[in-house]
Amino acid sequence: MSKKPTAGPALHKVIMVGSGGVGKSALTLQFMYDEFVEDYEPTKADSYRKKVVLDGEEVQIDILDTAGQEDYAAIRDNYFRSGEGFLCVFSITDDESFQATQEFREQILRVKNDESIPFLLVGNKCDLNDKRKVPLSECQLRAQQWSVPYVETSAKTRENVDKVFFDLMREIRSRKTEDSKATSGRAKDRCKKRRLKCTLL
Amino acid sequence: MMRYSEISRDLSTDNLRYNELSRKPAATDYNGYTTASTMPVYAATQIAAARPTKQRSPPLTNGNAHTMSCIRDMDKVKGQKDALHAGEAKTLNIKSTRRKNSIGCLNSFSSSPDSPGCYYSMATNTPLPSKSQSLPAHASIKQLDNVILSALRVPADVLANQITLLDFPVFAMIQPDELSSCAWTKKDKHVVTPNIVAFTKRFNHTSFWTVQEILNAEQPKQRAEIMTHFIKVAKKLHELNNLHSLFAIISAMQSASIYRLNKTWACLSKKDRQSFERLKDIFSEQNNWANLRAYLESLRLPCIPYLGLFLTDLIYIDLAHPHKGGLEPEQRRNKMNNILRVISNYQQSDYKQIQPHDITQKYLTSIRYIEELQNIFEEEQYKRSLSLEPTSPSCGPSSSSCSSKESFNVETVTPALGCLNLSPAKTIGSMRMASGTKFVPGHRKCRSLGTKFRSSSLPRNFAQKCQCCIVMIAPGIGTISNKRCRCRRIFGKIAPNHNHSDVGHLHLEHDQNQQLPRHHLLDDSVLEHSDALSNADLTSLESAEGVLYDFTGSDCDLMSPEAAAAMQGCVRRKTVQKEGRKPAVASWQRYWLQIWANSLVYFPPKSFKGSDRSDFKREPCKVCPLDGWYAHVSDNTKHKNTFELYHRTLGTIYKFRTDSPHMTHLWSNAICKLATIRVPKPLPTNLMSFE
Repeated sequence: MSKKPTAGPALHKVIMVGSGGVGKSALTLQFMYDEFVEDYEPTKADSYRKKVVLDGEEVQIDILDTAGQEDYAAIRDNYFRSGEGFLCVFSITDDESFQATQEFREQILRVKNDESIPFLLVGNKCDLNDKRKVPLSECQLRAQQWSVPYVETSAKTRENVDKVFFDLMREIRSRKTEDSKATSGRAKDRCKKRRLKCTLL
Repeated sequence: MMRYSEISRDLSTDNLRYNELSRKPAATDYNGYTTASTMPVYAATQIAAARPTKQRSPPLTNGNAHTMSCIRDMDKVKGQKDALHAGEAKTLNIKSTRRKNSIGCLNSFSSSPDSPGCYYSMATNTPLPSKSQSLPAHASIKQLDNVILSALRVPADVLANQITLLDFPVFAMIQPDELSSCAWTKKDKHVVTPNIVAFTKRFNHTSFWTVQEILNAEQPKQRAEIMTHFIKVAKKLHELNNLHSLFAIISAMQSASIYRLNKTWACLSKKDRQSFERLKDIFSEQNNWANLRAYLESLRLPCIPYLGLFLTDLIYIDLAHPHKGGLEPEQRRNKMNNILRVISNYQQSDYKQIQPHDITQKYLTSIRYIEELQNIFEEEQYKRSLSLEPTSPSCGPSSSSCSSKESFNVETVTPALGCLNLSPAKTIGSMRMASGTKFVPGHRKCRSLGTKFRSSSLPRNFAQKCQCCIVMIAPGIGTISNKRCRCRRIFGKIAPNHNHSDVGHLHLEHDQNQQLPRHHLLDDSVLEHSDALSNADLTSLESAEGVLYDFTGSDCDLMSPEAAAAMQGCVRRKTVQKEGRKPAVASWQRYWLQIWANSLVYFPPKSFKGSDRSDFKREPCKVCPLDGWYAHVSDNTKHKNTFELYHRTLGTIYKFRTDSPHMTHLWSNAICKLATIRVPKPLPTNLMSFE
């Protein structure tokens, strides 16, 4: 799918999912630009790619966020397919956005066909705790059911913003090493299968 | 990259063609559709009359679009907005799809296997007596219960043109205020940004329609045909610079429901796949949609861009440079205005050179798509996709005849499948080629067989499990006629007194150690094969018919396990009963059937005629272990050449039809031989009398 960089730091592809208006893009911008958001230029090729140091190792993170395109339902499957890890974001002040995570999760699992895909459930806008509509216990329960971590963030106060991205990258990294260890791993088989499709006579 | 000058030229030629069409009887065809759409029951004769002269193939049916049509009917008849009701109606219609599915495919395609261009025939759902390929083209039209239009009935360029004509006004309506409000993701989007919402809906609508049309077809080949058609539409949209709908179609083909249809993708021609890949690359999300951005830059009007890209950019600008009341920050204004200007420029596009075609537009807009039910639709489509091509890698595309039990059982022989794909079927192909080019397949071939065999990561007990895998690899070529003796000869040389499983085991060992005996053995066999292939035998290799006269009934009863294991030939199969229940509809399906290891392996047909190996795919579509299955020749006097295969505990019965009584007995015998090694089975009375 994605072109592997021939040299240089490992590239981790992170995908932001969630309903419109939950703050996906705010999280992304906070993580990418911090206070230098003035530098942001939407059309540049590397606008969503950043070099970071993950546990002493230099890696690259590539964030795909289709904020604003939430209603283009049909394109989701395809970009899910290219993702290596997912941040599934909802707003703790909006129950509907929390309910929607269920569908996103299902859709991702369907496309990736992998229950243990690196995945974080993220409750955003935790600075607005007084307007909270989704009880913490419910969020934790859902995360537990999916056996994924649950983190509450605030793009506004920058609380846990780095944490969710770094946690996810760690998961992706350990997942990749696992896969490369298992020489005849499932991931590889899947790749083969996919390729086979194209080489048939 | 496309040049602007090309576009206009294409458009004008297209226009010409289009006018031509409307002058020709094709117009009648479309009119026929109008009538038909308001009056579902339509007389056969009228359709025949309305059929355009352009059509090259004998007219026939295709039951593709019924789901769509049903949704349309629903729309038409009820015009209701009740979401629940809509969902209900949809499920119902999907059921009816199932019933009608068997109709069109084979016939419409067999009538014109290589003329995908004839899209003008009317869709007619006629109940066919059977799917038999020998059926004359017209034999099936006895009564018509419905007349509908499907995407295949409209030429790709007409579709692309009319889609563009429908897209553009909606796009042109989008106001700068809507864009700068960034409210299309908010709850009040319908009020603040109605045109953006409407335009997005067009995208989803086109996408939904594409997926639905593809999934309407029952067989991979048909689906591939429809896909090919949509790739053509996509190419035309690309020429028209309608990136909006182009992406909608590309997305549809990459949606979970379509992407996973491996069998269908495999049926696409290389050329079409390449076209698709090329178009797909435009919309790669890599490097912040760099391809799409560059491509848009390079285009000149007219163009309908993919708006989503701008929407994301706007959201990000809004976020990076928030407007906190008072004077709008300059950066925000500049960046926003840049995008608004670009979009407004695209809105100046002129597609007036395309003539509107009411009938096609009516068809396109009549497809009911309810945004709110999008998830339900998607779910339904995915289910349908799963039923068409079950997830198990070894399970075939024809859901109706592939039970979940089967696919489950298949798991146990999956290791064998790896080599299966590469060995018996492919051997035939390569052998045939070898005989043509005078290439004597020697060591190289043996070794490659050996490696493939080894590489498939066999479990330790594999040899015991697949008792005759080696036997199959070597003599898998050719048909039973010469197979039996040859098998005996070959294997007689090394293991005359071994029982069967020992033979397999022995070979496996040799193979693993790369020892000479294995090579000697295969050298011998190869030599014999090339003998066999040299002359008249080649024809008998190609065809399972007419090679059985040297068999007598008693002969086949004495069939060695090797020979049984090497059985293969063209059969037709019908499901009589599945898990204790009779299927709602059962039809004869043609397969190249092969016994491999202790399993029955089905290869789906490539075309709609012929009973040679070359008429079937090389990739198997089903593998069914024979454990627990019985075969017996049916007593039915009506069908002399049938035998039944039934499972005692599953309560599943299949009927098979072969070309001759001999063949039938050979098959049932061979299956019994392998299936009942463990389970003793009383001989069917019929078989006894035959002896």
